Amino acid sequence: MNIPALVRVALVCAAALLSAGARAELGGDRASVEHDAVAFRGSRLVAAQGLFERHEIVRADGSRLREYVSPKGQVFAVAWDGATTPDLKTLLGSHYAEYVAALSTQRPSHHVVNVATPGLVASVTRFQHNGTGRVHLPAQMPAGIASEDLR
Amino acid sequence: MKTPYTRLAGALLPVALLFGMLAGCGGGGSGGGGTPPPPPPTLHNMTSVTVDGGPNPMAPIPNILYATITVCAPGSLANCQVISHVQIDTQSVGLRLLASVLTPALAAALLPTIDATSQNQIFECIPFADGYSWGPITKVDLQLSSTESVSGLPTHLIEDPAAFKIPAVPADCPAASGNPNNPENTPASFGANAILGLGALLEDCGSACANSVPPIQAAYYACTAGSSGTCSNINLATTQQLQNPVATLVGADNNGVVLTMPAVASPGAATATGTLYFGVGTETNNHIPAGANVLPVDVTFGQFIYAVYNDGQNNVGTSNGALDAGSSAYFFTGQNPPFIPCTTDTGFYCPSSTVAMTTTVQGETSYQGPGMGTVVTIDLNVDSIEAILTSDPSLLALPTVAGSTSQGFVYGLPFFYGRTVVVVFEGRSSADVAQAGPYMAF
Repeated sequence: MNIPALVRVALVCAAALLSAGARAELGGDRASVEHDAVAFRGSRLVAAQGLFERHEIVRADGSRLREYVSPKGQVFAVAWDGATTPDLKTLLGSHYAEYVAALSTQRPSHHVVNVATPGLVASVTRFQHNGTGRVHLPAQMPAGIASEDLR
Repeated sequence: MKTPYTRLAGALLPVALLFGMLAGCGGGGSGGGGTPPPPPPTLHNMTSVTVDGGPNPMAPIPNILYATITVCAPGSLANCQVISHVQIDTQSVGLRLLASVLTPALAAALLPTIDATSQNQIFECIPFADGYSWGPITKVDLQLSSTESVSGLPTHLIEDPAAFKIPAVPADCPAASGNPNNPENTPASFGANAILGLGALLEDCGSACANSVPPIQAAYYACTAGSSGTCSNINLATTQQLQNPVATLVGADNNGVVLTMPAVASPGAATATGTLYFGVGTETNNHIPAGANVLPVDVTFGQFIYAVYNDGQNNVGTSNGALDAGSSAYFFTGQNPPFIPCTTDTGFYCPSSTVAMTTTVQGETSYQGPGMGTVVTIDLNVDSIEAILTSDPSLLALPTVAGSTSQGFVYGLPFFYGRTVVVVFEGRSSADVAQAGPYMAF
């Protein structure tokens, strides 16, 4: 069951949130999403999806950044698609070093890479004009959720 | 049949002089380059393409397709170089060359182009999933075969700032890639000596890099000279951007490409050699096969088709798809089981036995838009890449390998084995099909 009904929708102007929240990153708290909305220069759409909240940040160019917040209020996954890709160093925060270390042992692959460590699972696709990606923290995923459910 | 090509800025050499010049390149080209015209039945609008593991025999890479090209300094009769292991890509546009593989004389002759607004040097960033490449835009004379050439082609020269005294890479460039710690400026990290992007678009960025306010990040820059130079994001006229090399060919063969690869039996082969034809329906050897499926690709990104897939276990996904000779596997979101993640080949699937999948594709004229036109079925099998390479590490052409991606269905090089795949560029057409590009056909 991965397409639950929209229970609550709020459109938030990112510019109004400049002063709120902690430093944004995967594993951060709900308030950190607001900083990502500012960094990504988009407006934010919040939807409760059963076991988690999805915060979708949409740029004027149609690019989307989605952050998934657990019932405990923690960002346990992020995903993106479109012409503008988020800055992974900021987005992954303390998990960034683990991510790039895992990539360093892989064969060259210009368009698709994947990382799977005990702490982090990532899939990044980058074409010339656009990209998609998804990163999640397996240990923080709410029970009953698979990465394919994060849409 | 030959018509002067007038789109590029700057002076163009007369065609006759150009061919004479290219014939003088040391060992240039694949066809011997004799100056007298070849016998009429012999066509040279083609080059051989091979999967052979790449430029580093000690670390071979499976399922990457390479060609050999000849590059000359603009207008030079002698300052030329044959470059092997040029990756063929159908989902990017433009020629990108590693400066470190060039002779010192050729590297020294390839000067940065100049931004008309700032009078500074034009640089480019290309973000990849596994890293990024950085360096100036230059111009080269390119010879793809004994009869197919273009002079003054805008080309991305990929350089290491420490070795080539160019400005440090701006922070937004690595940040837009999937691995900001990997500057891809060596054959080992790039996986090739160069990349030849023959996707469906005419330029590598187009209007987004010509008209955006502010200019978009991680694309084109104007930089002041030298290793302490500074760079700013700029808009750049489409004619100054990286051009699709085949779309700029002198003559009639500039409407697209036809890529024919032999079938490769499972589990694989040590090598696979096919043919890349220039032009679509312009000669007797480059027609769209009778009964081929024609799929329009989206006009936003010039790449996507509409794909629906079923992994044989009633797990169905729908999403954008891409026909991508530049990817080494099929990539999609597969559910476990049967798509068990590999233990050492991260991101690839290692099913316990062969998984038969049925997928369907349609054309798609807008990004994430609805499918358009005929529904085409593509059946494929997925085997464990680890099992294949454990039993025979010498295999490099692998027709049944697949991996994970978060969104979309990438029909990588395995799709191309045993097929003829056609790309017709945006705004171009072929006499074979009554519709305009961009489209792909197979």
